[in-house]
Amino acid sequence: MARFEHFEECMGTVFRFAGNHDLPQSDFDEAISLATSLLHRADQIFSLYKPESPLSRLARGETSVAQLPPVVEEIWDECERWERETDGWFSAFTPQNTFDPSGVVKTWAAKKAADQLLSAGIVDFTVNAGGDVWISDATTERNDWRIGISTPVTIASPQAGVLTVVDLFGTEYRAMATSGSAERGEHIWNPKAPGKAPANELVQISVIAKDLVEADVWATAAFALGDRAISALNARNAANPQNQIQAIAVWPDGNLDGTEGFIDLLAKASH
Amino acid sequence: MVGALAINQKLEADSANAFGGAGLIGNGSSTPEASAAPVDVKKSATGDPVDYLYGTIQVSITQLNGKLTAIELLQQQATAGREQAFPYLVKYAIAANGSSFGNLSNATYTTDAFKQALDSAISKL
Repeated sequence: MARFEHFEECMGTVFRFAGNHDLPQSDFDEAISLATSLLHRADQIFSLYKPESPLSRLARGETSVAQLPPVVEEIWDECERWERETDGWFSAFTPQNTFDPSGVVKTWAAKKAADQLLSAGIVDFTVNAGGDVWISDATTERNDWRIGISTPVTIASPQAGVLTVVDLFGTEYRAMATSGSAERGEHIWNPKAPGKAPANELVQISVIAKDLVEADVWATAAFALGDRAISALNARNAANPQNQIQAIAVWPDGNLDGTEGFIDLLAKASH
Repeated sequence: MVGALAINQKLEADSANAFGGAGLIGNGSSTPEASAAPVDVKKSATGDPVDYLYGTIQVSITQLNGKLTAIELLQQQATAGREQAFPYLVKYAIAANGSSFGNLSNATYTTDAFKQALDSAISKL
């Protein structure tokens, strides 16, 4: 088994793949290259920063979903599904009412990349998609099951540090995503506010789920829910005993609150 | 309510200095000044403001003997505070804290605007 760590810059952030593999080097390199090409392909299609991307053309009304690659419809459907799932608190429609699936694409692509590695026989690894983390079932490094949650200040600030650490070992959870205003300001709109105004009640919320996209979407939705996030998630969990979602929210005054199951996930200091 | 505040404070104390290695980018490519003169050569420059989706970023940098020693954020509408070291942050954070956790979850940071602002400042040295 060889330890590996690969960084890929894409979508304006950094993806990290790290774990162990026992493939010949050339096979490993090929697997990484295929996996990361999926990220770049998704970026080319869905980036709203690239004026000629299919999504940018769609946003300008120059084309329709039916005329674009099928993957656009796939994401469109996925966004609709999450909008229903979150009772409308996640929405891929901007305040200007253009389709912006960026909230899903990063983790969706990371998941595709992870699937690519799995199918190549790389099964023991974690993915960090610009702060959203996924852990494979076969992760052997005990420490890789532990995820630190950043304090809600920009990573470059002198006050940057770790808020707390969760340990997903032995649980059904495989993913954590964090939404907040520390890095990119008020960039999450509240789909239910007048004019879809930016959500700003919380400064950060981290969501733990089985699935990476699910964690990501719920982190966005919960950020928009703001003060109601934790009680809404508790209510959601009561209605979905088979698929729990845990979260820890941070308010501007430093107050914290977690879902009912969150405290069980806190890493033990003895480790 | 979980009442996690006390737990948080404890863990925060345990893991203070997770990002102890400040100045992660501080690796200017220039070679040190000629060896004979022990006089420090300090230069600084301010880059152009760079607009990006979430605001405007503008950095000023300080170079000491050919090495970047400080990056100061002058304008960052999106966030407050200084910004350093975007792309390699995860790597360094993990190196600094490898014994306690394997990954760090945080709000997504952007790399492009920051690098552009940095390049602009470096070009003016």
